[in-house]
Amino acid sequence: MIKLQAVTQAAEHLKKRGIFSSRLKRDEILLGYALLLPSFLFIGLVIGYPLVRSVQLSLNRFKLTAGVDSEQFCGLCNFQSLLRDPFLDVYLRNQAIWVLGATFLPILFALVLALLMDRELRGRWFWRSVVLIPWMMPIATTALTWRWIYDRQWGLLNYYLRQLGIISENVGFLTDKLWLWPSILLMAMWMWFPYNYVAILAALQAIPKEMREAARVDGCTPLKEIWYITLPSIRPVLSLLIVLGLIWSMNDFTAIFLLTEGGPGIDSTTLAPLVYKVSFRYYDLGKGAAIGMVLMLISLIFGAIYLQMVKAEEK
Amino acid sequence: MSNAQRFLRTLREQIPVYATLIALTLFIVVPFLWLLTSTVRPVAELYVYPPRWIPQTFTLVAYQKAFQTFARPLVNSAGYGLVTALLTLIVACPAAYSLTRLNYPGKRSVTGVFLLTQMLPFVLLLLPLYIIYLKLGLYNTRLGLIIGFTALTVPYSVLLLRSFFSGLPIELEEQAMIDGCTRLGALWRIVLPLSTPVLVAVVLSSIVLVWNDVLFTIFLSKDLEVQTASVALYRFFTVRSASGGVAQKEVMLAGGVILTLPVIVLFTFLQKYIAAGITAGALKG
Repeated sequence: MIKLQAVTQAAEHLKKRGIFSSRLKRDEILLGYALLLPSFLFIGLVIGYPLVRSVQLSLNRFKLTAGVDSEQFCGLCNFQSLLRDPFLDVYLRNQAIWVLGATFLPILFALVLALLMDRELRGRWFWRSVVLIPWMMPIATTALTWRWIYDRQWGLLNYYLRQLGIISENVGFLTDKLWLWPSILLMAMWMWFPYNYVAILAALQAIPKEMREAARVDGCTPLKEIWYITLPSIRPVLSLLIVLGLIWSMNDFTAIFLLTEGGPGIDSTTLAPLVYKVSFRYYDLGKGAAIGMVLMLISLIFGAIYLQMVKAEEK
Repeated sequence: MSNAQRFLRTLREQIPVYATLIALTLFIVVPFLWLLTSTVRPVAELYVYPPRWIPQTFTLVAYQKAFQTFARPLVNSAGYGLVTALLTLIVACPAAYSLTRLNYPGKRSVTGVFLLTQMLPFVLLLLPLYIIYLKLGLYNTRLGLIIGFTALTVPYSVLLLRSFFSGLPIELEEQAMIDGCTRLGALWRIVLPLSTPVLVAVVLSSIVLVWNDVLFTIFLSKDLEVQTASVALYRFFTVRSASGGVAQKEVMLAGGVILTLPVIVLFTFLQKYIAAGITAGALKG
């Protein structure tokens, strides 16, 4: 949430000029740069240079199996090799399922929850604390917990689904093709709805009360009120959350890596874990970088859309 | 009569609301509660069918073992978190001040760069970073990890601080500077003391980010000796040999709870600061 705020704010302020004007122009310019320097040293080493180097790597043939000095320019060979990859369609399908599911399910869940909570409730404090639980759990704990719940032999979910008669014998939620993605996305929904929820609730509470009262006086049913008043009012927040969700889930490595490690086989391997696999398991750094570049280009397109949306907001 | 009707109407409206709310809440709390209850029982009761919500024997033996297993990584996590938070403040405050109070060419692009870093796939950057770290001798070192973490926290901290600073009244600083304070003096004496809520928010989010990190640590280190508790937990539950073949479910689950507790404590005690940090940012829109 803090991150979301910071990013949104910064985008909104991009256009504003500094407020202070000083007579000592040159000193001000120098001081301005000097104060930025430390942050740019860190970002330059850990983000800037690696970014340039990634572009270079993606255009080079560099397999660690052929030796650490085997790096050699080869143009688009890595991208060609990626296009010829027999499993490319599997990776892309996984990526699509993951990005769409991990973006929209948490937002949908958050929306329903926020609509329910945006009223006088008994035990408000209790409901609010409960909602924050998944947010406070470190992702390693979250993945471990869900692995335990999904456990084939002793898992809670197998037991309850059998009790309900939905399945007749235990299934491997993280190994069975049918259950794999629903299980992954269920965890994604559980752990990522809280920040969407906080943002949506804040937007709901900013809707003027008079609007709703007027709607109610005019005989609106609660569902109509939600459709005609509430949802249009929070549309800007929802679209921001969607674009940010798309960018962040697209680039996310940790969730899938911790839950399934991209398996079984390659059945849940999305592009970010694929970068890791190709580079560190198959030692093909060039191809790994090429996949990463594809990922980055798509993210940047979404990033540009996001900035446009923030600018449109301003007007 | 009308009272009774009104009561019935409220009831009709309220029941579905509370029913749905309870269902959603169950989905939210069940995993957490199941984790908790799984850690306070002897191993034998972990593997029972049907699953037992309330164990017959209550024991904290799993926690005792987990503390032994995770002692080193927990200390690492806490240390990295604190150092990273401190470094982040030292690096991000001047940058944010520069972006809000000084005029120079290229300022907008600088903000753009900070924003851009939030949209990059880090898994791509970590590849060359791994090679660079090997060359610089930073791979698998505490210093290397802290540098990586700080680069991760600085960009959004700058953005957060920036939106807070730009909302502070400039008159106080002008007054101080007329009275002979330098710019940096004004930052130190006026801006920072007024910014406590957002500074706490930055420290807190940096600590939590380091505490939860898996990606950077996996790429930039290999020995448990220097790794964080999150990664130690991950390694224990995926690679049995990492724990010397003694990876026991109940110890890992207890480790998961231990990992969560500090975050809950931080959130609870500092809730008003987080809220202040967020609303301070939000109001500036």
